[in-house]
Formats: sequence, C-alpha cells, structure tokens
Amino acid sequence: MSVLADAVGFGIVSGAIISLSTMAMSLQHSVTKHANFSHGELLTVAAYAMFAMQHLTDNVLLDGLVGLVVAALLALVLDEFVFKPFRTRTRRLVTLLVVTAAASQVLQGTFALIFGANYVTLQVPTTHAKHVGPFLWTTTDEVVIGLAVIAFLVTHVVLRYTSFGRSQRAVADDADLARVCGVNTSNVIRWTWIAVGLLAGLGGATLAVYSGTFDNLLGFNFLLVTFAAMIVGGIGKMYGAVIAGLLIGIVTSVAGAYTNQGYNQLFALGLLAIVVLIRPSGLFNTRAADTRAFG
Amino acid sequence: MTPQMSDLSRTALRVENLSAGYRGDLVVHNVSLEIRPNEIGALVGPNGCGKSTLLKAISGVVTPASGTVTLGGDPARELTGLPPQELAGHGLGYVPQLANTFPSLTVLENLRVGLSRRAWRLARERRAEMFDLFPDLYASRARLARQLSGGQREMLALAIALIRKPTIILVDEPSAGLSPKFKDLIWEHLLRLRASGVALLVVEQDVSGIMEIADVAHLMVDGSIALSGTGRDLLQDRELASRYLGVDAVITEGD
Amino acid sequence: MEFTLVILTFVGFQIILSLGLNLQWGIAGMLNLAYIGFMAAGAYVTAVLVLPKATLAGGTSYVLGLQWPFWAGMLGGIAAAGALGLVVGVVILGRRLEAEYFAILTLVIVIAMSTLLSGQPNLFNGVEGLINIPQPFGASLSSTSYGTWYLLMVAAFAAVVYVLARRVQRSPFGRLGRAIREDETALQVFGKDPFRAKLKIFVLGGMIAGLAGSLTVLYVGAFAPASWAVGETIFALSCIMVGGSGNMFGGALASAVIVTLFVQVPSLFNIAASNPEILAEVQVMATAILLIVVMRWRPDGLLREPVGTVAKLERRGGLETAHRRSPTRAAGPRPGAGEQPDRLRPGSSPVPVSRTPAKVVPQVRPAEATAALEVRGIAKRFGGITAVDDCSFQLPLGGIVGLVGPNGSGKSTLVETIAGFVTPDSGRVLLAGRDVTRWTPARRAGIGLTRTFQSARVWNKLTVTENLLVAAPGSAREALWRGVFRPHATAHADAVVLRKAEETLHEVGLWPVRDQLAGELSGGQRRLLEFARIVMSGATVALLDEPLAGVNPVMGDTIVEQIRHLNSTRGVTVLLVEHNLKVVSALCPHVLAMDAGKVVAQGTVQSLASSEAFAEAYLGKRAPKTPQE
Repeated sequence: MSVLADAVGFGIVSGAIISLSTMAMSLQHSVTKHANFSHGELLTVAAYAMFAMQHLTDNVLLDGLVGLVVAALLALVLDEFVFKPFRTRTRRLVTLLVVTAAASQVLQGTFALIFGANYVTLQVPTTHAKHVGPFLWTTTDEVVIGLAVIAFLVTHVVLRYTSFGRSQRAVADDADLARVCGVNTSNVIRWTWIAVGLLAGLGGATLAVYSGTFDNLLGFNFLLVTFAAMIVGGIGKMYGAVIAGLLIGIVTSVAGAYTNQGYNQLFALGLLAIVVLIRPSGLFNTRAADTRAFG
Repeated sequence: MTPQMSDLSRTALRVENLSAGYRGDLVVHNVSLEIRPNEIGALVGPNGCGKSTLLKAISGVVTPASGTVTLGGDPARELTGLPPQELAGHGLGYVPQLANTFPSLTVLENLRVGLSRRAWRLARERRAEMFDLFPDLYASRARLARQLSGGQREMLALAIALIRKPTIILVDEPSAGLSPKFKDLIWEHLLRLRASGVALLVVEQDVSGIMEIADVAHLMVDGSIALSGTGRDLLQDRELASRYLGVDAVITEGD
Repeated sequence: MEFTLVILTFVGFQIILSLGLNLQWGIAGMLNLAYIGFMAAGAYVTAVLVLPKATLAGGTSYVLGLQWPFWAGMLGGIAAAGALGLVVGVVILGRRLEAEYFAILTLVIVIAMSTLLSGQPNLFNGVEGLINIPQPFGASLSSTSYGTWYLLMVAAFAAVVYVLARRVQRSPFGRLGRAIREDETALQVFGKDPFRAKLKIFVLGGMIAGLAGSLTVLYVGAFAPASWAVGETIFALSCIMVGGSGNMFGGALASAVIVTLFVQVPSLFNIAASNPEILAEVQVMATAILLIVVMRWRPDGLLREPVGTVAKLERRGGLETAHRRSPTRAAGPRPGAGEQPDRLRPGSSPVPVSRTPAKVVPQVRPAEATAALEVRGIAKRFGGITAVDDCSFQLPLGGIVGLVGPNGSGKSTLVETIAGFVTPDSGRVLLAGRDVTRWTPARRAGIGLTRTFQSARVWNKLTVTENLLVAAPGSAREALWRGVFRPHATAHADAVVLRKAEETLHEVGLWPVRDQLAGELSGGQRRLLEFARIVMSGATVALLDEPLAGVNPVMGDTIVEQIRHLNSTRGVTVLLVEHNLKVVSALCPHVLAMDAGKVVAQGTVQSLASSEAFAEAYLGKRAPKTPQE
C-alpha cells in the first residue's frame, strides 16, 4: 500500500507544478483566445535564470524570484512584440499557431546557444524525505506544494476581489464590451501576460528544483501535459484546470508506479488524445461542446 | 419631415445629416433626428433599413461618413466619430443588441466594470435608484450574468449603461428574442427610465410595442426616414404598414 | 568537392521533405506537427529491413533485420510511413477537429513516438538508435564516385517527387484540396466529402516524408531519436512558408537556399562551431526567426500560390483560347457531361467528367408532380427556446417560393434543418419524395439540393473560375491518381467543365473577374458567384439564404435578375429566404410567412399584406394593453 501512497505523494507534487503551468496557460488563453506553443519556454527561462543566478547567490528562493521576474518579462516581450502584431493583422488561426511554434524554437535555440546543449544542474539543498501523513515528502516537496497553493490563492484573490481581476475577467469575456465600459484593455492584457509569466515562471522554477538537472527542453516537455490539464479541466475554467492538473499528476504518477516510470508522460499524452478526440470542450465543462476552437 | 430644431441646451441628442455605411457602401443616408430630454424616441423599420447602423454610427462603433452627432445640454458637445469608450464619459450610453453583458461576472460585477473605486462609491445613490427601477436585478445581484434569463440580461445591459449617469441611452432591439411577457416588462422599464430622467433612442423590431410608449417615432426605409410622428400617431397611420412592408397594398384595419 | 556533394545531397533530402509538407500544409492547410515522425518511420523501417539480424553480442537490438536489398528496404520504409499516415489520418481527420486541436494531436503523436521509441530499446535500439546501416551500392565504389552516384539518385527522386507534387497542385484534386483549406463547410453543399481528400493528402505527404527518411538513413548510416524532433517540422514548415505556401517551386527553392546557407552558420557562431549538438537547434532557430520576420510582412510567403487562370486551364486542356463567348450565346445548348471534347491527345482516352449518377429528378408530369421539397412537422428546440414549432410546407417542382418572417421567427433554423446542418427534434424533410431527414448535407447535395449562406461562403484564395470548377460534380475528374498519372486527360476533362463555367460566368456577368481571387470580390459579386456555383453543380433545388444581405442596393436588381434566371431558364426550384418584401413580391408567386417557429400565413404577397397574422408577425400585436402612464 505504501507504493500507492508514495506514488500519490509524488503525484501531488508534480500535480502542483502542473497546476501552476496550467493556471498560467488558462490566463493566457483567456485574453488571446489562441493556444501558445511557446508556453513551455516561459518555464524554461525561469529555470535558466535561476541557474544563472546561482553564480551570484546560494539562496534558492532569491534565485527563484529572479526566475519569476525574468519569465514575466519574457512573457510581456513575447506578446507585445511577437504575438500582438500578428493577432491584430491576421484572421487565420493557424498562422498564429505557427508563429507561437516558431517562437518556441527560437527560444529553445537561444537557450542552447547561451547555456549549451548539455544538462545543467541546479544546486538544491538536499533534504530528507519524511512521512507527512501517508505521503513521503522532502522539505523541497513541501515548499513546492506550499508555493503552488499560495500562488493559487493569490491568483484567486486577485481575480475575484480586486478591480484589476474584475477588469481582467471582463476582458476575457468580451474585450470590446470592456473597452466600451472604459477598461483599458491593452493594459489589462499586458498585466495578464505578466501574471502569466510569473505563474509559469514559478512552475518552471519549481520544476527545475524538483528535477535537479534540466536542458533547454524542460518547459517544452511540459507543454503537452499542460495542454492536457487545460483541456481536461475545460477551456476558460481556471479552477477546473487546477483540479485537472492535480489529478493528472496523481494519476500519471500512480500509473507510472505500477508499470514503468518512464511511461508517465505517455499516460498524460494518451489522456490528452482521448479527451481531444471525444470531448474537446473538457470533462468538467457541462455546456455543449464549443464549435469554435478553444472556446 | 424635419423635426423642430430646438436650442441645443434643451435637447438631449441631435443628429444632423448623418450618413454611414460599411466598406464604402452607404447604408444610412442623410438622417436627421432629435431627441429631447425625458423623451423616448423610437426607430423602426424593416431588416436592412439601416437602423442598427444608425445607432452604431451615433455611438461611434462605426465611423460616420458625414454629418454630425451632438449631445445637448449646457455646454453641448459634438460627439461625431468619437470612439464608444469616450461617449460614456460624456453622457451617451449604448446598449447593443447582443454581447451586452459579461456572462461570467455577477450582476454587481457587471455594473462595476470599468468604474474606479471612487466612481463606484459615488454611484451608490445611483445604484439604489437603479435597483428601485429593476428590483429583479437586485434580487439576483450575486448571480452570474449567464445564469439570468434573457429578459433579466437585457435589464442588466440597460443598468450597465444607466450607472454611468447618461443623458440619453441608445438601445438596440431590447425586446429581441424575448417572450411577450418579458417584452411588456421591457416597455414598462423603459417608461420608468424615462420617468427617472433619462432620454432613450430605441431601435425596435416589435413596432406596436415600442410605438405605444414612444414620444417621437421614426420609420426608416432604405436608409432614410420615411415617416415621423408620435408613436401613437404613427401606429394609427395607414401608411405605416405598407411603407414598412414595402408593398402597395394597404393593410385593412381590423380595429 | 566531397563537401559540396554532401551539401547537395542534404539539400535533396530537404527538398523532398518540403514537397510533402507543402502538400499537407500549403495545399490542404493542415498543420501537421508530426510530419517529421513520418520521415522517421520511413528511416527506421528501411534501416531494420536492410540491416542484418540483430545479435545480442552486437550491442544494438532491433526488430526484423531481414538484410533486404536497399530498394526493397526503401519500398518498405515508404509503405510503413504510408501506413502510419493512414492510421493516424483516419483517427484524427475523421473528427473534423478545429485547427488547434488538430495541431495539438499531431504534437502528441510525434512526442509519443519519440518517447516510446526512446523507451523501448528492443524496437529500434531506443535512445542510441541504429548504426552501421549498410550502404546501397556496396563498398566497391570510391568515396567520391559513391557520393556522386548517391547524389544522382537523390536528385532523381527529388525530381520525380517535384513533378508529382506539381501535378497534384495543378490537378482538380489539388484545387479541391485548396477549397478544403479555404472553407470545408461550403464544400459539403456540393456533395463533396473533405475527409477522403484530406486523408489522401495526409498519406501521400507522409509517404514522401518516408522516402526522404529512407534516403537519409541509407546515406548517413545511422539514425536515432536525436535525429528527428519537432524542430525539424518547424524547420521544414519555415522553409515552405518563406518560399510561399502552396508553391512547390518556392518551397523547394527556399529549402535549398536555406540549407546551403546554414552550412555557413558554424562560422558565424563560434559556440555552435565547437558544439555540433546545438548546431541543428541553431539552424532551426535561425529559420524560425526568418519565418516570423517574413510572415510579418508577407504572410503568404515570397512566391504566390499558383492559381488556374482561364487561359492556363484552356491551354492545358488543349482547347483554343478563342472561346470568348459573348453573352448572347448563352441561350445556346449547354455543354454537359458526356459531350465529346474538341481535341484530344492522340492515344489517350477521355476521362469522364463526372461519374455521379444523374440527379434524381422526377419527370415533370403536371398531374402527379411530386413536390421537389417537402417539410413535415419539423420542430427544433435549443435549450429552453423553441426555434421551429411544427412547421410544414411543400415546394412545387420548378417553383420559386419565398420564406419571410421577422428575426427570431425560426427561418434560419428551418433552413439549416432542410440543408442538413441541423437535425430536427421531430418531423421529416423529403426531397423528391425521399426522406432525407438524417442525411448529411453532402448526401443531400448528391440528389440535387444546394444552398447559399447568409454571408457568402466562397473559396477566397481560389479564382472565380476555380470556384466554379470545384462546384461542378467531378468524382472521376478530381481523383488523385488520375491527376498524377494522367494529367493531360484530366486537364482535358477539366476543360470540358471549363466551357460550361465560361458560359455561366458570362450569364451572371462575372466574366471580367474570372481570374480574380474570390476573396477580392465585392459582396454582390460573391453572391453572383454563389449562384454561378449553383448552376455548375447541377443542383435542382436551391435554398437561398438572404441573398440580398450585405449587397449594395445597386447590385440588388442584378441579384434578383439572376435568381429569376436560375429558376426560369435553368429550372432550379428555389426557396428564397428574404427580408426584403419588395424583392420577394417581385420574384415569388407564393410566399410563406413565419412567426415564432410556425408558418402563420401563406399566399401571394398581396394577400399576405392584408392578412392580420402577417402584419402581427412584423409589427407586433395590433392591440397591446395600454401601460399606465
């Protein structure tokens, strides 16, 4: 039984990281209405920024913070200078998809140029695993889970109870109407991207710490599992996405524990494929399937 | 057919020789009309006659090709071609036919979108008035807009325009898609709005319904105003039906 | 010298790769991020077919190992890629997914492949991959002459694939593919099923990728998961998008130039030079940057997609260009399927223009004429709202009936039900007596039903004439294999249809814009194009959905004229949904008025105008209760 409990414990940690990435993607999609194939690179850039910072300071938390900021900056720059010009000019959705895919490759190449093709290692304080209830967690694991919970709560509070959050949700619902009501939609979109970067960056930082070593494909390898969580949870439903992220983390971990650890990802991919083929609007989405892509 | 052009300080909205269209094709030709404060103005006409486009041209969603739009008062303000987001500040509200609420926000949040904390505080009295006007909305104030019925959503849309203290609200087909019971409710609420001091210019498909309550009414055909008068008068006018339907036969009166 | 040979050989590989992707993306608009996976399939299978049996002592383990001659190995690789394409295609193309979901699924596939193959060392030696793959021509040749021979072989294959791709692009099948890219939905009302065409392109593109993989693996002698990644697909995509999507020459040229240029890249980036592992990544990166930059300012790429102008089509079909018909000749006999072509290349037999059976049209016997279209008790609810409520009526053969009613009366839903895009909750739709209630729109088109849409759905990046050619029935003419192996006969069959198209263009007055892209036409012209397509399709019953919407009033008369012509001269039965009552009264001797989902009145417009129910529908109840002041 402890195999199961251990697996669930791992799954909660990885699920927390997935949730972070999915929260970010959910926010991003709510304002752009198209998928971003370079989403993974927002995670990767935070990880590399952390790595770079490690030359300056040993404080992992400080390194992580810098990672978040760098990711936020990258997100902002990407939208402002790469995606937005295309969004305002083209009506074809596939063109935007290709642009995001191209951006992904550009970023991956940039990371490889700067940091090399080999795996880099992050100096992470070693901690012992101890039993927390039925689960076997290290202090690092607990910190990751804690950060994810905090991030979720902060996002929740900001979206629900602040005027920016209200404006953001209004823009996500109907940007034109929001503009008519006096919302500065361009600003709201910019700040949303900053939030996207922060959340994705946190996901990347925690992922890097959790993995210990990584290369320029860190975030890209995480892209599909993020899509999976977002589609399973329902496009446009952030809370569904968070739950889905947790579930996927747990399910894949458990499945991997009983079969082959290396096939973790395959289970997530399989789930994604099935959901897309059968019910693209998501498992939690009770409304009729959308006719437009992604909501 | 030119309405009496009164002094600008005594008018709510004046449209003069407005022409507008899409992609070079004019849909509205040289339309002039005037709405006075505390008046309900009705704009009816067959599909494609340009009435929606006229509203869009006044509210800035579509840039007029020529003509002027002036908001009355002291001082009067010319609004021609200003984008929609600026008009609310000047006192012109616009309620489009579709996509006029935020589905995933609550009623209260819908009202609050775009208002600064100060503006929201200042609008407290206004809100109380509004909830008096729309008690149904008050009861559902914590519900999400998409959970409201069609009629309630329409009222929410009106309320969103109302909370910004407009002098006049342009409303595009408020009764579209509503059951007769809700339609009557809408007419009732429009009257209450007028009583509370707001002028209205209402585009409608349901001719009889709006004509009963309109102080001034215009029939648009092919982009121009074909008939004008008070709502009641126009409703009795034998020409209304035949002009509207564009046929030569005159509707024999059953009443 | 040897270095140049190597570069040119790799250029050859990339050209072949680009051609396959240009078919999938350029012509059919499919964003297949798994494209490189098909190349890998071809490479892997070829390798394990030509390799000797794996021995445990050898250190590498893999399946098969049949030690076949290289050409058999190549065939096997191509077949494997094709089979993979078939399986994947059937699964993901059949569902009519939106572009984003399709792209994500293809990404899933390629990453799943990579994960599986890396994780399963027994299939193709996992992460380390296959090595020591035997070379085709044996060790007898010197290194330089071997390189030359191989390059010649690659060049030959590239030439063949190039010719193949061009033929596909030019053929009626290719045109169909482009129409699918532009608007799949509109294609259905002409009886054509996009799924099969897309599947064929998907498999063909996959096989071409497999060929490239085969050639690569036999040349390089090794192949591992590191050799192929999503980046390679983006690289190929960038090449063809920069060169010009849909332009085979442009894609091939851009690939050649970019590959050649990027051989120079190491000298630009010192880091890359010293670290070959990231070389490929940097090449992809540079190409991706180029892609973004080019797309920003020239979204269609540097070279335009070739379109079939009338002159070109006539020339290819072997017809004289002097077919300038004047409008007065329109009254002459209409060419149709089966008419003997003027000139034909000696030795070849004619291609049937269309193999679809004659439309099921009952003979016109006035006494017992079956209604062309009948609607019985149709009802449809959406959520809590009843859109159509027990609607019934008949459309007499050859008639032209109007359907009017205010917004929300249920007209649009009714039209969608008759056309087959919406399934009613109850009731039946009968076409010439046959119950088509559960039929797809394409199947209904097969027995003569067609429709127009509220906003005209024309295929924007096809010319006006091409639009007409796609609308015409042509299952034989549009067959892929015919387009590839018998291009002249196919072009000739095309030309036969072209004659009818030219005549139709004159009739509707679109001859002056025959070579213009449909997307550049005005609203009224697009409507006329829709009518012309109806004529070309040979449909006998047409649902016209607000044809005057969005049309300049000046064009209105022309549209009315064309509708009348469609009905009286071409014999098409018309159901005209319109708001403009003047137009309806000019065209329709019989009109149905709808309100709140039901037909509330029928008759001539004059009689309707004096009907209370009709007036109420539009103006509202005449005697409303007076609200308190």
